[in-house]
Amino acid sequence: MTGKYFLNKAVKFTGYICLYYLAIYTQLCNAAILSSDLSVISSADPESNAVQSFIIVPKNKFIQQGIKKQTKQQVISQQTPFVIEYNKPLHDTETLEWKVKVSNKQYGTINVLSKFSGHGKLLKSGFLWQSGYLNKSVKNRQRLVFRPKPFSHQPAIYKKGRGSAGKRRNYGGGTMHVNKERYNPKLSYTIKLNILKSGSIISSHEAILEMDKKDMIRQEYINHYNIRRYGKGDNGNIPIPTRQEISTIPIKPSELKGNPLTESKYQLIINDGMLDLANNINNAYLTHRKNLKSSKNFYDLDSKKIFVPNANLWISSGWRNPERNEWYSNAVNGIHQRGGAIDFIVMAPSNSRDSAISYWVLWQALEEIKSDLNAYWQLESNGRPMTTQEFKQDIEPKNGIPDAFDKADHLHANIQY
Amino acid sequence: MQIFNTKLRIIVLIIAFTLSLSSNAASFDDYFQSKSDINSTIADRVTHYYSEDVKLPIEQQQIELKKLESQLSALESSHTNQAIYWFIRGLNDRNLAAHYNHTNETETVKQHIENKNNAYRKALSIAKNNPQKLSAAIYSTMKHGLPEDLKIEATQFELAQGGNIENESAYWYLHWSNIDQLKKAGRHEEADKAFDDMQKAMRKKNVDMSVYADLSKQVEKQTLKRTDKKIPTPIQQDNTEENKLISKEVIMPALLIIALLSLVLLTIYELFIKTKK
Repeated sequence: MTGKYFLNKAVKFTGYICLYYLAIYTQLCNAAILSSDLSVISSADPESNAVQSFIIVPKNKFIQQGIKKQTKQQVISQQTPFVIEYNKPLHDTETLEWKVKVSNKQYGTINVLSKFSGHGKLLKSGFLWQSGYLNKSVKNRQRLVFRPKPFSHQPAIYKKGRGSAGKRRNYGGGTMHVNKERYNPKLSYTIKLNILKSGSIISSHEAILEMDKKDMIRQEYINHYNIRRYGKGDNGNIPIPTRQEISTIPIKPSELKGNPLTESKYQLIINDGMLDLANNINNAYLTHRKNLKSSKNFYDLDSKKIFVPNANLWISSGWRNPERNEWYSNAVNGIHQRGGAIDFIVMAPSNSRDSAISYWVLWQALEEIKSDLNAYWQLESNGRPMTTQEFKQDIEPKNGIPDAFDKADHLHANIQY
Repeated sequence: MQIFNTKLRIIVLIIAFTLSLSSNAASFDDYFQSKSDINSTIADRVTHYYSEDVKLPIEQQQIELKKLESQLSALESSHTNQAIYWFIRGLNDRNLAAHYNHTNETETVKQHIENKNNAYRKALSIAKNNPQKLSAAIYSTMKHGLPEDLKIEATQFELAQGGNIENESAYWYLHWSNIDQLKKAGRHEEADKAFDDMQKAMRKKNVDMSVYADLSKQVEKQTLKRTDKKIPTPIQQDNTEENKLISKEVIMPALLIIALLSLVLLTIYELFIKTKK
């Protein structure tokens, strides 16, 4: 008897404690109880719509969609309004009140298309719009229709690695890493519907429209479309990827050293042949290096024998989301954004003799497989391709190695578009 | 008549060259990410010769480069205290060296390389007081072919500005370059310190050590020739903000659960005592 009583009390007590903490946790997390009574149209794209995600397409902009070489491009659909509808019958005595909360305060307002009254205000936590009390005389009161306000890329121009006043921006890694700047926020809208009777709320319903990772990536491309480049050259005109073109990151073979195929923080990727290209280049390099080592038949410009170092190739850049590309490169239309480019560094101190020889070996290896590779490549230093003259001259420093290899800090290769 | 034709051809070529410069070429500001204190046309023309394949016939190139040389010399007295002036002057000497190398005038090449190094030495010496005056791209351009001590100085100034990054890993390879140069110059203590600085910077920037441990290991073994000191593993390096955050995320719920369990046990104990009484 005592045992049973004791067990009963203990179980009850533990249950209360657990319930108490669950209640606190729920409060803390501000967990939304989503209503199945609200139907939502968030996007013209069925896949986006299925997860209540969306992208924001500015008005009167004809942006091509389809980023991969083989994809047939199409003009991206214009922004469709968001439609949220309460799909249960209402009693005449019931009144409705709609509320829309924008998650990111920097991307403020919305444009409500429903024909009922309402007002918006900017709170500390973000923008809030709420309708008046809608009684039975208000037409279509069960349906809220609104458009998000389009937003654009904030910095005036591309400027590699620098922000205002020439200072380096505190940024490097895409939106998923730093979301505090005005670059590409994860936008979401919380829509709340209160149903009232005699001034008291009798039921509340909530729906959340939120950009998922794929749409965040696509939004980045939209925001960077037609962006001005720093200095002379074409403005940005990289097409927008379709959702199907964005995939999970493929496994990188262990022979490929260095960074993952992307350092962007989305854990997603656009891969338009860069992995195959990386494999082909690495294999060609290793084979050529092995041949040179065994033949011992490698001479410098002064006809002195060259010892071939064991430096491997190191992947330094693969796919970059536009934000990341903006940080690292002057090339607004850089192919890293299309998933068709790969950068390699040789694993040696930069601009050392070992590094110069290894780039020379790599260059020869690529020249050997030129016809099979069907790609374009260039050696770069400070973001510029080496000039023809630098492949011929040996003055900076005079060491028997063409200057192009002495100065190179990486090799860029891409499939041909 | 023939002389007239040649002159006309030269004028046309120079006009075409100037036009091509204004439409396509990267300006000094674009390329070096720094405003030049001297006449921007001069700076842009020098940059164009350095960074691109110039299409002019060889004799026209020589005329243009010599013209730039005399224009720069004329500016010396008014710009002698400006690091950027000496950089541009050195760059033009480098262009002249490349030109004479093409025409196989070995002695003239040597002379211009010497002039270039002297100009860069002056630029670095002026910049010493305020290295931020010049950009990472300028230091990166200057370092090639400089005498050892100057090359180290230029590399370190470049590093101090975060490197002239063009891709994700270049900055860390620049660190390696600095360590390597110090080691080769026999400045072992400085090389060790530079390695420690690299490690600190890696931790601060929160790089993925599963990727960069390989690089650190290679710097230690290949450059510093260390074998005894253990290379920090990613687990040892949990002083980063992200790891602190993870610790918080793990520790807080664990503490909560422990507190909860203690409460339950205490209640059980109290009930047990009560029922005994």
